[in-house]
Amino acid sequence: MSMREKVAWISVVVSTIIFGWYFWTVWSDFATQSLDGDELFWRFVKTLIAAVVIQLAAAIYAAWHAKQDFDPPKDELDLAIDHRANRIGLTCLELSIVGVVFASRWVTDMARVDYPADPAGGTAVMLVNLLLFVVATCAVLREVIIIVQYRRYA
Amino acid sequence: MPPPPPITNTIRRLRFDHGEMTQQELAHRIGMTRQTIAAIEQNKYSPSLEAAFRIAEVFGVEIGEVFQWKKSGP
Repeated sequence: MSMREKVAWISVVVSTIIFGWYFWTVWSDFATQSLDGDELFWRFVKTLIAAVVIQLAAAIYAAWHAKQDFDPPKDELDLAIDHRANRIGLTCLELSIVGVVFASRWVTDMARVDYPADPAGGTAVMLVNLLLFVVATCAVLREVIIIVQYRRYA
Repeated sequence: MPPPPPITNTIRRLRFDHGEMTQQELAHRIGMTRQTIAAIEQNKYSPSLEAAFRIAEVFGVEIGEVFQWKKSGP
């Protein structure tokens, strides 16, 4: 297995677990109408740092264990795979953002009901996390497409 | 999965004829990964024209001796 495919596997597994946990906690807060923008911001920062550190450590270990180059230069097949994955990932992101824009009306209505003291703040927190969710989902999709393509050529 | 390209190649035999050259060695000489060489050899990936010329250059043969177009139909 090439180092690039290993990195994609690490990214999918770590992102799914770490960001899955983050969005699960956001959903729990949302369900109990206790979203707190400041707390969520720091929770997200900690989650992001944990994801980066774990992915980096796992990739370094994988390269060391298999005696592979940590960041090998891309050849034409790697570039073709990247290009295809980026194109699909970007399309997913574009469509998802349009979806978030349409959902903003529904989010605003919910914020008015759930956070009557600060509906604008509630809307902002929900929309930011909705955007983070679609960005993370499209990023994972992109890595999954990379894995599928490497498996196709293996 | 799309059907394999109608191209065959003799890279495996050429490697054998050149002192059992490994896929890794060939990959290193043309600036590719071993996985890409394996995909080309198994006819799962068609390389660029430049890569095809580089492979032929390593073996010191014409490109037509490395890659052959598979004629279709009668």
